[in-house]
Amino acid sequence: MTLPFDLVIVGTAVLVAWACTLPGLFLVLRRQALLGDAISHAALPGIVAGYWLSGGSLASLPALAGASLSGLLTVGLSALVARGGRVKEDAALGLVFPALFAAGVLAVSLNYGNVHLDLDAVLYGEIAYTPFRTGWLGLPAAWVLMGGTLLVNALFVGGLFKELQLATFDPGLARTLGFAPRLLSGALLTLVALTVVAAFDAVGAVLVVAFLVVPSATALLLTRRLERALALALGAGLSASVLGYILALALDASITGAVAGVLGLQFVLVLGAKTLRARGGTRTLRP
Amino acid sequence: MTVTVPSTLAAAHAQPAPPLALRGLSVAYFEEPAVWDVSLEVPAGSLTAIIGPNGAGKSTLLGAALGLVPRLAGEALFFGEPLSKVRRRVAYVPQRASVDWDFPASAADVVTMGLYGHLGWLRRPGRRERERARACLERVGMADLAERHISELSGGQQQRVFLARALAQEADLTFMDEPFAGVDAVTERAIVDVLRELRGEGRTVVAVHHDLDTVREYFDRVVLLNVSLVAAGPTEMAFTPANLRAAYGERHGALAAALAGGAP
Repeated sequence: MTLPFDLVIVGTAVLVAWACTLPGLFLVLRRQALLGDAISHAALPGIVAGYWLSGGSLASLPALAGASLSGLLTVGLSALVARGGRVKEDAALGLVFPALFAAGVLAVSLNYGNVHLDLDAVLYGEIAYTPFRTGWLGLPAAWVLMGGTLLVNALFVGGLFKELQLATFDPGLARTLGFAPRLLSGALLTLVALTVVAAFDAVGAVLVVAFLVVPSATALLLTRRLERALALALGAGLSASVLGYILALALDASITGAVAGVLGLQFVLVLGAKTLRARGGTRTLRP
Repeated sequence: MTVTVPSTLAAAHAQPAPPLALRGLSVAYFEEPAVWDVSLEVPAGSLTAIIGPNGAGKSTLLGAALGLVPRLAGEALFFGEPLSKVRRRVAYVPQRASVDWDFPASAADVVTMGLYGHLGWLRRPGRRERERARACLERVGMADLAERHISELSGGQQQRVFLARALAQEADLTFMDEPFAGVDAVTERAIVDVLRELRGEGRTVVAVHHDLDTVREYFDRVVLLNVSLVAAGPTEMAFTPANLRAAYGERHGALAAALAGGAP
């Protein structure tokens, strides 16, 4: 089965956008927006290990599995460092991911000094190539991978929406009510790690980090309701994927760059409109 | 000769387990004791104030009892059971500053969260929960502001939202961490009214409290804490100048004792 290139590329972008937005909204609300970026760097040692295990193949299952494991290791180790209470959570993440990234860089320079193995080669996927890789049932490989990721994320966020809301707003109450907020937060970060690694392979780092953060940030400017924010963020990801692709074709420019650009533009437009309205209209008093 | 076992059993039946019993509760932050070997009981239908100087471990004691802060030793029993068995009977109102008031939620949304324990995992709140949340907001004089975003409420109104959320839990024991901190007179009145309503229904409230001026007026029992337990009991017996000096130290104790009204 051959699908039109346009459809495969835009479809992939939308799947990635939605898979990232679902956990991304909660990351933004927890002020952990840059977790995805940290995981992208910390994934390197896992990729090197996967590369070594698979005997020198780059875009392979071992590399993907290695990257996922490194991502999980980042989440787990930083939780462990922060656990005693002496180190804040964001500082713990800042300690862990450079260490893992450095381990990856060392492993590359020691073992594969003469091989081109870096993040660009492995993780900074190129969305324009997605039509050429076919997976299960003859569907584009990226659709299978990202469709599966989206499904898992949708089940998690859809099923546990009220639990995630409570654990994010008031973890103390969540705990006394028996909703295991630490387990939920561990599950959320694990899904972020897996989503980031899967999506890197499909669309590259910049767009993944953008999808994790920007649609949710834009939506939170537009509404004060959590459900509406999620719906608006999904809409922003969809429209940015379509508009970005059209823009990239018109300008003959990078697709991921154009989509990320439209996401940024959406945010700036909403922020600008809000600022103008706040200046022109009545000022709301905020405590 | 009667054996002691049946008689204690009979006594246990006659007197239900107290809402809160702490036995040898200790907490340490980085080798520094924060709460040391605290044992106390809180009887049903009472309003208890936990007082003591800054850093006395008042909030930590609440947190440790509720399992929010890791314990070094000791146990906390609620109605004679560990918390995990009686979660629905216990409510907790954290310090207002402990949550992010920019979170996308209305006053009614936050109050509805108090009903999540009754809903359990996976079930979503519906019309019934909305109506109950609204009724609780009405009890604290906030019905008009139900749909207002929480960042647009004053500090006192936010505190009342938290109070309404605790009411929604319909708990028999409610913990409050400084409910009166930085609130306006209207809110203070509303909180006191609700506390008395709860006591009238036979429910129990334990609150961390700062304002020694109002202890006698608002609370019928006092727990005086300075890392270790200084005194615990009915206000007129525990809230004494001598105990206040012991809790606050000589320098601040004299002031505290003066505030307490110089009772014997």
